[in-house]
Amino acid sequence: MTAKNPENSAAVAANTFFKTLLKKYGVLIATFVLMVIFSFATPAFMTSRNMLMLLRQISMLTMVSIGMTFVMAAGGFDMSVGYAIGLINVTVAMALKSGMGVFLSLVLALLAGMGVGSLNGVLVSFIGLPDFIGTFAVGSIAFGLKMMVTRGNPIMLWDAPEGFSFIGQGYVGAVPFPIILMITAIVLTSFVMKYTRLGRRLYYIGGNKTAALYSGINVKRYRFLSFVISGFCVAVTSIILTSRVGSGQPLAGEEYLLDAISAVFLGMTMFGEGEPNVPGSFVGAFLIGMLTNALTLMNVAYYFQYITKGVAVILAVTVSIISRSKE
Amino acid sequence: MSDAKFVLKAEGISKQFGGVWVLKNVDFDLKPGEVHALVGENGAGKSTLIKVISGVYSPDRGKVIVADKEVKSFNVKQMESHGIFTVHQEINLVPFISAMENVFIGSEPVRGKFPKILDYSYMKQKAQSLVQTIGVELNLKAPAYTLSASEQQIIQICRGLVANARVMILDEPTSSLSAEEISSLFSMVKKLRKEGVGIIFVSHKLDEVLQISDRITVLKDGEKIGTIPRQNATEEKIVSMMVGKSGFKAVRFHVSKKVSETILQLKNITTNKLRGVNLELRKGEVLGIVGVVGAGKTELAEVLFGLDHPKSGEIYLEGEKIAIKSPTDAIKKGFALVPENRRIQGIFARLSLSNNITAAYLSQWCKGGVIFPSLENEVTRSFIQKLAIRTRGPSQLLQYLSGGNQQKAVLAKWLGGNFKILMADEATQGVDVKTKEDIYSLVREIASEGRAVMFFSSYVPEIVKVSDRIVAMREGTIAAEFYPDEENLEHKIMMAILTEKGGNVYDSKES
Repeated sequence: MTAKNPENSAAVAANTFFKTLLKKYGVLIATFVLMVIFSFATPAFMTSRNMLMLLRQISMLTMVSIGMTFVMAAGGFDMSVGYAIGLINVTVAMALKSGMGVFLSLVLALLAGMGVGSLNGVLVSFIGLPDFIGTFAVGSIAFGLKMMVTRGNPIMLWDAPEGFSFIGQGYVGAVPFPIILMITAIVLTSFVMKYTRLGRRLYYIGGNKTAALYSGINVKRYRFLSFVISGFCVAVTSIILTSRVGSGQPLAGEEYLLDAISAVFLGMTMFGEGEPNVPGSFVGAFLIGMLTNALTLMNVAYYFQYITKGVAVILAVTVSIISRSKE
Repeated sequence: MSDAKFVLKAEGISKQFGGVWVLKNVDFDLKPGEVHALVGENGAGKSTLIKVISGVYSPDRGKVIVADKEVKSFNVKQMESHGIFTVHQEINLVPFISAMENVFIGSEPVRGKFPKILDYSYMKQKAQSLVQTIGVELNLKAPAYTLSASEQQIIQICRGLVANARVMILDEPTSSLSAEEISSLFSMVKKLRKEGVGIIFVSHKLDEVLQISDRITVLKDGEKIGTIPRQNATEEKIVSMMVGKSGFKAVRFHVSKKVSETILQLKNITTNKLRGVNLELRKGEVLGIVGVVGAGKTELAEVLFGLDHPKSGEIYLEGEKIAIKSPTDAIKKGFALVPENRRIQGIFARLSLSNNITAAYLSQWCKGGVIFPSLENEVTRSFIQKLAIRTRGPSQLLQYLSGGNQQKAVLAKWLGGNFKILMADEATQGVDVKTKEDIYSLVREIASEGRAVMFFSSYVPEIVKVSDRIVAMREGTIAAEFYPDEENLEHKIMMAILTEKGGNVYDSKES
């Protein structure tokens, strides 16, 4: 090292350090800062009860976001998730109500989710529709289908089987079961994304589709798979949701689309070099959930929550773009 | 010097990139109403020179004089205001608007101050008169995407004329045209010449150059070899000038001529671009496949890598007839490809060096679908050492490596695997001299292991340097075959790839 001007080089080092910190952990830092602010602003926020509630709340968003992470890692987008959650929510409720057992109802839900994912995959990956158009159209079909079968009326599960209610409402010790599901999913999918051939190949495709093809990767098949995985995650989300609310709500799930995309974008600024990643998506989902939770506790009007969410996403992504472009 | 004598004069133009002088003290001038052809091998400096003239690059030394005034600032808009326009190889029109509207992009005639309303009747009138001037028929109402390549060129030419072009640069204008379209382009060029427009004509095809131009300037290795009037020019003479005294005095590799087993045989492979390719590849040889851009080299590599499928013809791998369905399939059958376009087809810029290196044979570094990063890093480190890749380490993102080191990563991607045939398509493009040498020795090493290499290149000296055997491609087929110890080899190869006469009718040694 030729430290001609030690003061200057120290400043440069500090600057680089700060930039790396901001780039890699900006969202994480923002989350902590907000947590501190919220815990001072409202005493009800930083309690173990509220924290568990918050985690249970975001377990569903995390699930959808994990699926979205797979799709976005491969350079795609899944615009069908919101309406698909609603469709499967209604499907599960109807299946249970018709007396189909818990196990069969769950299998049906998962199949339906993967069915929606397969349809997305066929349209986008094999036929070649643009992601936005193909998956959005599938979402529209899902919306239409659920409105058709419910005629817009909720399907109430007054006496849902206990096994089913446990999924969304049960506890293991003091910990709500959805949190356990969520943590299991995070650990499992983080591993898949980082340490398996499947995950790596999705990153290759997202990194450079043509180079992936020229490296012998079956781009179409893997993109198709990413949509099926997203569909599976949608089904899991929907099962938890149905169990939580104890009914099939025709309008449920719609807000998950934008929240999931936001969570993945927030998470892209973390850990990796701007690639979608599961732990990042979890932090993103946590941040979004926390904003809603804290602002509700503080009696902030719901419309202001939306504005805050939008601003948070803009800020986080802007920071990551600026810190990246300066290299 | 009077205004009428030259529309354009470039004096002592020099340009360097990263310490390499790609243009050295080049003079070039253009008279009004003249077609001045610019010829030379790939890398001779043609495209750099026209990029200086059209304002894309500013020269490091020398000056450009347009209409007796020295150009001070080099940018495309500025040069266009001086009346210098380029008709590009890759044509970019706005696809869904009409031919007529495309002519006026950037110079739309309007009526009124606010709101500015497009003056369609003027457009129509002007476009029609332009089309008449150059003597072509064109449906001006048709959306641009429905137009053929030659019609799209016409639009580009019209764009220049709208702005009163005095210099028109035609960059490889015939490469994607049919014979008929070429002749209509040439009659258009003659009309333009009559209008007093000076035309710079860049082409690989010497017969066309001789047919259309008034003067011909030959570049080689960034230097001007000479300018000759057409009356004094023959294909022979131009090729001699292009080959010249080679600055790239190749120390040839010691090559063996012993005939080994055939590993790959192609019979009459035909696609849209290939016209009956017959070829034989032997184990342990580097087969040089030489041809200009558009001769079919890349198309041939694409067929063998499963990216394109032949309409007819047969492929035999080690005596067995095969069909190559996809790149995945090609790799399974033992093919490897270093693609022509590194940035788009070769690398994952935002992923790490180690991830790039393990991309093609990922399963090899996995157990049961699970990747072992320690294994991956170990492999990467060994390649960093073996190929002398300059990097901070296996986890550095590829976008931060130099072009040469990126290309080494692309090679390393294949070197870890058990391929039988390596296809290298313009593998030394855009890499430094040292890396070029490394790539040549690497290719020789692979051949010495008994594997086969197909070395595709448009740069004759390197083909001569590295190959055990050379085939020349021209217009989608094999035109000639050479051995590296033949006399006057570079000259013969140039004749074969550039002219119709150069071929020594190639017989694939079929049994």
